[in-house]
This record gives sequence, structure tokens and C-alpha cells, in this order.
Amino acid sequence: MNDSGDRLRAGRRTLCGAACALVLLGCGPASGQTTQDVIALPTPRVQAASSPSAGAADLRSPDGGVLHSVAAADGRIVGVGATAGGAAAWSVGSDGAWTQHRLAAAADVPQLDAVALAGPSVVAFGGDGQRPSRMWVADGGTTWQAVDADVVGIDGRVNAVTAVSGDRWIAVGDRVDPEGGESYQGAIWISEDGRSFTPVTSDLALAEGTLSDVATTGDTVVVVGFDINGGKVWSADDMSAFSAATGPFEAATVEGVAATNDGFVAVGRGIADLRPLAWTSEDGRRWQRADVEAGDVRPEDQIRDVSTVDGVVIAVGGSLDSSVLWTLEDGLRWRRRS
Amino acid sequence: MAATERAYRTIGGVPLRYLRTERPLTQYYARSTAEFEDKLDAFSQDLAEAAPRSYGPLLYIATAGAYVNKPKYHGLGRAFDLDLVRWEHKRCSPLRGDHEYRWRATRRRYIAVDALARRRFKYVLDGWYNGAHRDHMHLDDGGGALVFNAGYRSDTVFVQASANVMINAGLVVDGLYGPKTRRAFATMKDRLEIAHRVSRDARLYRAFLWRLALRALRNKGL
Ligand SMILES: [Zn+2]
Repeated sequence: MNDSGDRLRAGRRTLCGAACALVLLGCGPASGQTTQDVIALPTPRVQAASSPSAGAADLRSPDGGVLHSVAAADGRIVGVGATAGGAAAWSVGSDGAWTQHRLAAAADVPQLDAVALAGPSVVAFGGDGQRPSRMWVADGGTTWQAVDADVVGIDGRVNAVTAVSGDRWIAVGDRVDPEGGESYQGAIWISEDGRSFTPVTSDLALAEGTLSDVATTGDTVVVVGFDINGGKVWSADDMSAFSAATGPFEAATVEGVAATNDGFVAVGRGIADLRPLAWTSEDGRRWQRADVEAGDVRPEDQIRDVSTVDGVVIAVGGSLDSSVLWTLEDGLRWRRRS
Repeated sequence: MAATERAYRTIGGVPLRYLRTERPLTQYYARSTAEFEDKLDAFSQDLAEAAPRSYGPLLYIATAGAYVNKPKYHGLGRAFDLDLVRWEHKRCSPLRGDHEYRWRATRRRYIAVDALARRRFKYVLDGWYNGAHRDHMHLDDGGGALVFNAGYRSDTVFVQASANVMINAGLVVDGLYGPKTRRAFATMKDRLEIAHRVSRDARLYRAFLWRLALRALRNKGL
């Protein structure tokens, strides 16, 4: 990290609960060189049991749909993404199957990118990848309602959102170059009502960069991303001031982060060979590379979201038009699912 | 068309490197669509062919990334971030900020590489475009036909900077295509004996860019 001096101002916060199981791992094709030696660390412990709960273990991608983000809380699981018909939202019913919801005012929206859940409230973001993300909310109903952009106040593209203590929300993403559509600056927005968001800062000092994911546990919020110089990780206590974390993130993209029973795990790829990489941290501030097993992640697989479901960390991703869901099993490896 | 359908460690036969680590990586496996790699190959061949013999052969091209997992063209396998072009005896280093380097010959070399990139990629975001590109050149093939577009800031800042470096036009590089910029562009086209229809005729625009690069690589104004 070469910007340890960056500090991001934010509002208050707390934290989200759901501890997670976790592990990390990865897999990798390839030979290719890494920029530093891989450090084998103790595997983060799975929270309750050493195997996924039935709910998480049975999760698959929805038929005909591509998952971009999954959220779980209080026994509920929701997912968002796309179908051939455009943006889509689902929840898992009592039979364990995905049920698709109706999205109001989404006819011209190709996909949803991020979803978070707290109690009965769902917040989701999506759009065309060029203009600022739009927001949908649901409070227990079957139709997800669009929220007026003037109310939402999001001025960029949201890649991830999470609930904080059930009554606050934090979204991360980037601002988009109006001409070429590339992200040029990371962005964080926070909300106390799940409707109206305000930016934490106007400049995250990312060069052609993006913020890809956010996770919370205890009093700590971790935001991850990457730019032209490699991976970037920030952490904050009480969401009042984000500061750059330290760790071996060079020559890497950091694409997802999840809370674990022992802190956090972040996942990404080597920039020079797309080899899956992982980092762990107890406090969100100091990170180490974790040993990654070869496994079920292919070079062409995008990792779109990493989250915790029933104490198990899952990742969703795949290619542009195919959906892959991985679960972490036994704290050792990604297991690829449909 | 998968974003990662091609994996390669050379373009146009020239090795790729990665310099943004303590110890530079001498092998870099880029991934992109096949069509995009073909364009990179052509760009690399142009870099070798346009340079005077005194430069020596192209040794390597340093990149900061091609396919990476983020929205738009990098995520589609249709973008490439250029850090450095290394001939045996000369280099052009966007990574070092060569677009504003103190020696005019170095700035001209940057203009040449920029111009050659524009013959293959509609969107070239360079050091004059915005702060995010002061240390690399972003190339992608979105944006439509390979003609000059006065409505694109990415095109107009390049024309303004070229006019300053090649004919001492003294323009403010602000991306606004006003009368002074228009006149300076016309002067450059005249001196390179290119008809003025570069906004409509891709063949003419590419010829302009080629002749501009040949002069700039030889540290000759127009
Ligand atoms: Zn780029």
C-alpha cells in the first residue's frame, strides 16, 4: 500500500453480526510467479460446526439466473443479479428453492449488483454500469420498490452494500468516467434509514480504481478494492474514520471480503496470472497472505460477491452469462456449485 | 465472447512485463478477448515498425493490467493499461509521467506512442485526460469508429497536447474544441498533407496518426 496516509471520514456505525465461518482458499491454475512468498497461516475456524449448515450447503444458483450478490440474516436469504430478461431479485423459500420477486420500474435495468438484508428490510442496487446505481427496497412484501434517485443520493456505481447493526447501511463502489465508463475513483456512502445515502468522502485516492466489497464484524468495518497499483484495504472503527490497512496487496486485485469467526478474510486474484489469492486479518488493520489451495476457481471466473450465509462463507460469480456459487467447506477449499 | 478467451504473455511477439512491484515481473499473462488481443498485436507491430532504426528492436512492453474484474472494458477483456514501451535504446514511460517530462524529445515520444495506440483503439485515456491516467495510458476499443471525435475529451486533449509538442501551439489543454484548437489541428493536418475529413474518414485519421508518430519518434516537429 502506498497510501497509508489516506483517511476517509465517515459517520457513526456499529456492526453487523453474523459471524461467519470461513475460510479461504482458492485455487489456482497456474504457474506464474507471485510477488511474495505465500504464507501458510492457521486456517480460520468455522464458527459452529465444521461443515456448512444445510441451508448454505444446499444453495445453488437460481434456474436461468446469474447471481451477483447474496445476503443473509435471521434465517432469510436474498439474492440479486440478472436473467435474460434483465435485473432480477430472489429469496430462498422454506423449501430451499429460489423464488423470483417482481422489481418495480426496472424494465430498462440490465442487472442488480448488490443486496443487503436487516430484519424485514432489503436494500438493493443495480443499473447499467454507466450511470449512477439505482436503488430498490423491500419491507417484507413480494414486490421490490424503486426509490427515487433524488432521495437515494448515490452519485456513482454501487458494487456492494451491507447492513450495520440493523439500522445503518454502508455502500461501496466507484465513480464512473462519463466518456469511457471506466471507474476512476472509489466511493463510500452511508445511510441511517436505508433510503437516503450520503458520501463519506469525495476522493478515495484510487487511480482508475474501484471499491469492490465491504464487511463488518464487532466494531470494525473493512472496505476492499483495487486500483492501478494493486489491492487496497481500509478499515474503520465506528465508521468515523477509515484508514489504509497494511498487508501484501501489491500486484493483486482484492475482490471480496467477509467476516469470519477470527476476523476477516479477503479474496482476490494475482494481476499477472489471475491466480486466486487470499488474505486474513484479525482486526481488519493488519493483513497476511493466506495459503490458497488449488481448486474450483477458473481463470475466467469472476468473483462478484463474498458473503456469509448460516455461518458459512459463500462466493458468487462466474462468467458474463453463467452463474457459479462456491461454498467454503471444512475451512479448506472452495467447492464449486451450479 | 468470453472476457478471458485469450491468455498470452507477448503482444506482436514482444514480451509483457509488470513493473509495479518491488521486483518487476518479467512474465505477465494478460487475458482478453481474441479480437482485442489482435488489436494489441497490431499496436505492438506499429511500435516496432514506426521507430527509427536507431531505437533498436522492441524489447518489452510493460502493462498494469488487461482483463481485471471490474465493470466496463477491463472486465470485458477489452482494455489494456500501458506503463512503458522499451526499445533497446529508447523508452517511453507513461508510468514515469513522460507526457510532461522536461525534455521535448521525451514528450514527443509519448505523443508518438499515444498516436499509434489511437490507430487501433478508440478510447485512449492519457496523461492529459485526467488525474487517474497521469501514470499510465488506458486503451480500450469501445467508443465506435476510429475517427477523430471533437466531442470526446479523450480526443481533444490529445490534439491540443500534440499541437503544443509538435508545433508549439501554446494551447491550454482543456479538452474544449474551440477555434484555436481547431486552427492548430488544421495546421498539423496541412503540414502532414492530410485532408481535413478525419472526423468522417477513419483511413485519413489513421494516416494522420501514423505520420504524426513517425515525426514525433524522430524528435522532429511539423
Ligand atoms: Zn485502464
